[in-house]
Amino acid sequence: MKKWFSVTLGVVTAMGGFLDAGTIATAGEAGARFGLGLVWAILLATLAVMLLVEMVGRFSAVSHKTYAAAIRENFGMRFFLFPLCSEIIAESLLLTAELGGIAIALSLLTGISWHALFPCAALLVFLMAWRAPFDWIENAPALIGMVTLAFVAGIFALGGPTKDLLTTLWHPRVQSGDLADYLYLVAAILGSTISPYMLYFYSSGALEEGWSGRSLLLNRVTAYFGMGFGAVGSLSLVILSGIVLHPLNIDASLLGEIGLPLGQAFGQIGPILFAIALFATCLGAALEVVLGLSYLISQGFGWEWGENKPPVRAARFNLTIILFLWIALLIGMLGIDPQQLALFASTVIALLLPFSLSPFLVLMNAPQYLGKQTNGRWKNIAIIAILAMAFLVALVSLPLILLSGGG
Amino acid sequence: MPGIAGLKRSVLLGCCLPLLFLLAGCQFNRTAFSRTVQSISATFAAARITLLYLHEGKVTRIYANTDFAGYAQHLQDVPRQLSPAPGGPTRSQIAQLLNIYWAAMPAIEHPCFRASCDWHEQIVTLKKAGDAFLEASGP
Repeated sequence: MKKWFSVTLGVVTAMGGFLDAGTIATAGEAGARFGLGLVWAILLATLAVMLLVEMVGRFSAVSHKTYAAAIRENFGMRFFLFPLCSEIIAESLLLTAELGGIAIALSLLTGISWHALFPCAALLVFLMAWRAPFDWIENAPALIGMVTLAFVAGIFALGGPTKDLLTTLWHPRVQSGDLADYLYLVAAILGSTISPYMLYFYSSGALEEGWSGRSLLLNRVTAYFGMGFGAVGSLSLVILSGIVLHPLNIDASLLGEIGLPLGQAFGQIGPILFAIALFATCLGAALEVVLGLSYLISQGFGWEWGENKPPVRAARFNLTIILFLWIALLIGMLGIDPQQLALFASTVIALLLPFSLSPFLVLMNAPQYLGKQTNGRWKNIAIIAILAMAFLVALVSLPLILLSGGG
Repeated sequence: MPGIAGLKRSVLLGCCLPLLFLLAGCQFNRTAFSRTVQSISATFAAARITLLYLHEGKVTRIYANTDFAGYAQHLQDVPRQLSPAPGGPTRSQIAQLLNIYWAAMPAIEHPCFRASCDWHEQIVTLKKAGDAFLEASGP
C-alpha cells in the first residue's frame, strides 16, 4: 500500500512539477503565434525528458551516486568545470525568470506591482529552501500545481479546437519572415522542457529519499507517467492559446495574456486559476533550480550537502542557495520582463544541452556504475538526436533573433 | 580509413549547415522594424481583449490592472523604437503610426474599468491602433 502511495505521489509530483515559467511562456506563445504548429516540439521534448529522468533515477538508484558527483569522479575536476559553468549561466537566468513568474502571479492576484513583489518571491524561495524538508519542497508546490488540470477542462469548456486550428497540427502556418521566430520557439520549448537542473535535482532527490535497486519501478512510473501526464498541461496551454489568442493576433508576450483564454472558458475564476497555477509551478521550479545548482556545486566540490540536514551541518550547500538567490535578485533588478527572460534562458539552455548532458550519456553506458542496467542502443540514439537538434536549432535561431532586436 | 573520413564529413556538414542557415538568415527573418510594429499591434490587441473581458465579467479588475501595467510598460518606449532607419519606413509613415499610438495610449494608461465611463470608445481606439500597426508590419 505504502509503495503504491509513493508511486502515485511520485506521478502527481512529476505532473505538477512539469510546468514552470519557461514551459508556460513557450507553450502560451507557441499556441498564440503558430496555433498547434509546435505541438510536435513539445512531444519531442517530453520524450527526451521522460528518457532522461528515467536514466538519471536509474543511475542514482543503482550506483548510489549523484550525477554531479559521478561527473567529477569519472572525468576529473577540470572537465567538471564545463557543465558547471554552462549550468551556472543558464540556470541563473532561469532562476530569475522563475522568481519573476512568482512575482507576476502574485501581482495578478493582489494588484501589487510585480517589481515590488520580486524580492518577496526571492525571500519565499529562500525560506522554503532553508527550512523545509525535501518532501515538502518536492510535493507541496506540485500538489497546488495540480490546478493546471483546469487548462484541460478549459479546452472542453471552449468546445475544443476548430477544424481550421487542427490543420496547423500537421501543416504549421509559418509566414515568410517568421521562420526564425518559429525555430527560436522550437529551441525554447526543447530547452525549457529538457532543463538539466531537473536531472541534478532528481538524482539528488533519489539519494535524499534513500532509493535503491528496488526503486526502479517507482522511478520508471514517475518518469514515464508523471512526465507524460505533465506534458498534458503544456499541450493544453498551446491549445487554449491557439483557440482564443491566435485568431485575435495576440502573441502572448506577457504572462498575464496566457491566462485570458481561461477567462473565456470559465469567467473571472479562470484567470485566477491560471495565476495560482503560475505561482505554484514557478515556486516549485525556482526551488528545484536553486537546489539543483547547490547540489551540483556541493557534490562537485565534495562538500556536505542535503536538504534534510540542518543548515549548520551543510553550511556551504545552504550558502550557495543564498548566493544564487542574490544573483537572481541582481539580474531581476535590471527589470527584464520575466517571460522574455524565460524564453531567452530556455534557448540558452538548449544551446548548452550537449555540454551539460554529454557526460551523462557516457556515465549511463559505464558498467562500473550501472552493472547490467546500462543504457540500450536506442535510448542513446534517441537522446543524441534530440540534443543535437536542440543545439542546432538554438545555434541558428538565437543570433538571428538577437540581431533583429527580438528575444 | 573510410570510418574517419565519414566522421569528418559529418562534422563538416554539421558545422556548415548552421552557417548556411545564418547566411540565409535575412530571408527567413523579419526586419527589426517589422518585428517591433507587429509586437506593438499584438499588445494593443491584447489590451482590447482584456478590457472587453473585464466588462464581460471574464477577468477580475485586479487581474486586468496588472495586465494593463504590463501593456503600458511594453508600449512606453515606442516613440524611441520607431526611428527612421536606412531601408526602413519613411518619416511620414512613422509620424502617421505615432499619431495612432498617441491617440491609443490614454486607453492603455487610464483604461475605463468602470461601466460608467466610455469604455466602448476605448475598445474602438485600441482596435484601430492594433489594426494599423498590424498592417504596417507587412504580410
